[in-house]
Amino acid sequence: MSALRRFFKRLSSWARIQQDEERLQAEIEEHLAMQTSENLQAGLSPTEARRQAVLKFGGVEAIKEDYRAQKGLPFLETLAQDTRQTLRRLRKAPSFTITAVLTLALGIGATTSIFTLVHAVLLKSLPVTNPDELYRLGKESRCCYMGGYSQEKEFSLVSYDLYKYLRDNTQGFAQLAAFPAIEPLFGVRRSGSSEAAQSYPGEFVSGNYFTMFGIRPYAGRVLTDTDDQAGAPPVAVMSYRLWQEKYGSDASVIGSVFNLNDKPFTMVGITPPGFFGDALRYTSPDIFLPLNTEPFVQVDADLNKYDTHWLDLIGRIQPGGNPASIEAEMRVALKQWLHSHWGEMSANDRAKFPNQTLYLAPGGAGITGMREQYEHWLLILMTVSGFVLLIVCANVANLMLVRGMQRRRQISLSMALGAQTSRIVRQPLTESILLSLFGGAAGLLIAFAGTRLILHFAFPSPAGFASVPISASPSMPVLLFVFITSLLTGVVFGIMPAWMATRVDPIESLRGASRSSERAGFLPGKTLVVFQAALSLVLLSASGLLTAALHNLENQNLGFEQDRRIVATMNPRLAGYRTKQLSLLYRRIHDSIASIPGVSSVALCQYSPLSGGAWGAGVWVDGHPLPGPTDDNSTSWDRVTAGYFDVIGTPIIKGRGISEQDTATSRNVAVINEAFARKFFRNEDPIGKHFGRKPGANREFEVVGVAKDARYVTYNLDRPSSPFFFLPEAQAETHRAIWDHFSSTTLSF
Amino acid sequence: MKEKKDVLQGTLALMVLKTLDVLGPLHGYAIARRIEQISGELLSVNQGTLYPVLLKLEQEGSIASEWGASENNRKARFYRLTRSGRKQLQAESRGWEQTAAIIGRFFVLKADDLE
Repeated sequence: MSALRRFFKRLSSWARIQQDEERLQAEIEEHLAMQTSENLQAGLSPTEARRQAVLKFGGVEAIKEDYRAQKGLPFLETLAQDTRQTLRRLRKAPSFTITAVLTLALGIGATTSIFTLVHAVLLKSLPVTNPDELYRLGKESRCCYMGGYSQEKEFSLVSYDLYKYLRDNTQGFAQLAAFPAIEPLFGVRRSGSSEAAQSYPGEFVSGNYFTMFGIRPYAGRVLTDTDDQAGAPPVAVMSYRLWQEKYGSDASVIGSVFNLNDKPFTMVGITPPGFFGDALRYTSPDIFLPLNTEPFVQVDADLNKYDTHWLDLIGRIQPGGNPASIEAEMRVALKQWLHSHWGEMSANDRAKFPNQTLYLAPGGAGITGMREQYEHWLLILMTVSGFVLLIVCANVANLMLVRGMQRRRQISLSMALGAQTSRIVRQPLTESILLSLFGGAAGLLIAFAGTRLILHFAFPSPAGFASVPISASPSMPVLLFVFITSLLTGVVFGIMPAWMATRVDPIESLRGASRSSERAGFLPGKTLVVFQAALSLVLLSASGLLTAALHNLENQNLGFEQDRRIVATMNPRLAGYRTKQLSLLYRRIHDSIASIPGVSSVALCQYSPLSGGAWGAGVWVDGHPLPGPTDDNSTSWDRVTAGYFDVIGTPIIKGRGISEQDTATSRNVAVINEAFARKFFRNEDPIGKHFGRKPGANREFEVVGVAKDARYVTYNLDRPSSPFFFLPEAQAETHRAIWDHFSSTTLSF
Repeated sequence: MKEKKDVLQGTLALMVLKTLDVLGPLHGYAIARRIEQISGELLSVNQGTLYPVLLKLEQEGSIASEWGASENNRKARFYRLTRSGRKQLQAESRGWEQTAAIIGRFFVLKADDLE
């Protein structure tokens, strides 16, 4: 009770401290006067009487300090006092303050930017209910299709049939949901609207997908097991983002019919804002459909193929469930399922049967393809930004040391007057921590801008699509990170100047100069410079190497022209075009684009350069011995329209390119690249030679030209180009099932 | 170091209260002189330490203070015991007496008393 009263007294007396100091001063004076007069009466000289009185009273400043300590809230008070004093000092040295704050802001900002990404990509769980209860199949995420009855290392993708078997023969899951590893695009058009279909990424999900994640609809309802049955009325769920951005949160979207790939679906609900599906991806899915509608929507459906493994699994274990025993149970179920397909298994699959196993991994973060892809780079970036922050610390510490030198006389004077060491140390520390907190605050702004920039460049998303679900605005963990980093930074660069301050000899102020101890201040300064130089050297050489690598990548000859060229990608299937219509459609697109003023030429191709994909095929060359089982005869191929090589600017080295003379009725021709010629026609002239894509069909194509090597895939850029051949689009009739996937148009101006 | 000071302050506070109880309102110097006379060495070195103690007691409400005139007509701050201060003094004196009595009995203790 009395402690409480004292606290309030103190709090109130803190406010009128000035007045009380005067009172104390008056009381002390009074005391001394009385003692002095008594001493005088005892016969001492006036000076001696006063001196004795003062001696008897004790250290006035110490008592005042003690008195103040009693009076207010000493810790808060000295903190406020130090802060006020520091702010005053910083205001008096604006150039130092601005330099230090800006330097710190850059260091802390850079580190925070990277941490924002590290947090989002490496640390964060999916925004779903109790992510700790989620487990996923597979230690590593895989994409996208696996065929047959065996998988290397672990069985991590499953077919729909295997999913059902695992689901029905495993006890420990409350829910086990399935969804494909790829995220297909759907042509979306509201039924009855005159607008053309637009493509959005979507996902087929098992009926219990939303129940498993514990996701409640924002509006309408989510998908259920009843929706996910063969013959159920086709329904779909839309993301909050698409609903808001594209349909202006129109409530009538729910219950209305949408054409997805030209098939009617009733939109039954909206997912909550912030939900981005089962994985962190460049573009989050906007449409969720029941798995069982896959054959209804896709031309070449995978749902009922037993040996096409294309589904990822995530399950919520029952409270208190043991993932290890569920894993064991699932392994048994996998073996049973495989065994039941013994008859269909190849000899290879049967040989691998004993090694087939599966693993459960924590699934709170969903399918972590992005994490696996970026982990390495993010950690490198984090280390680099950590180095930058250390250099920043060393820089600011140096500035502080110089300032400390200027303040030596003041400090030695304070010490001579009996100031406590702790107070002396606290001043530079307060200064450094205040500086770094300011730096942290400014760093937050820099981090926000920096993160946005990184997101913009590293995770670009096509217009109209959802961007990567990473927010640049600081979340609670990021704010905490900035605060702690700032505090630590402040301590790191402030500890040396603070320590230096305590080494000041009080006698110095009497000597009037600090020459004698300058050397003591010099050594830490030197150490700092060496430390700084070493760190900078490491960073410089690392960034130099990176820049050189980047420069090489940027300036390497990709085998095609990049100036005045545009690539457009289209997927007519999403708009409901059928394979038979494509020839005409592509002709029309070609001609209408070619007639645009300013377009000098147009060509269509299945894969444009650096589009990141290509079909693969083994090659059998006419007149060559059959390749043995270990011989590598793999190549990639593309299908292009007449004039394609001129349009993209890949020179033809020998023979001719694909031209108008290659029609459906003329002989089947191919243009090969230099790598193809090197691999298969080492000492021969390839023109006029024949090859095929199957053994026994080795006169399928006649080589009519050799094109310069160009890069089509976006990986392995550090290795030589791989063998490639190009077929005329006009001769594609017999291979329609493959080539109707999608197509790029390349324009040149 | 700190502990010793606390003990000192605690005993000093009790001495201040007792002095004010016996002699009525006094200014700081008079309190200091009185305690010095009675306690001998305890306060002879640092009379100044009295003032933080006075402040603490005032904050706790055991004493109150106001400006007045000293015997030789100087302006001085006079401290007096409040009612709660008197109660506190009674409680603490009892406590001290008990403690002193117990400690005293221990000091007169001889080995054969515990036979």
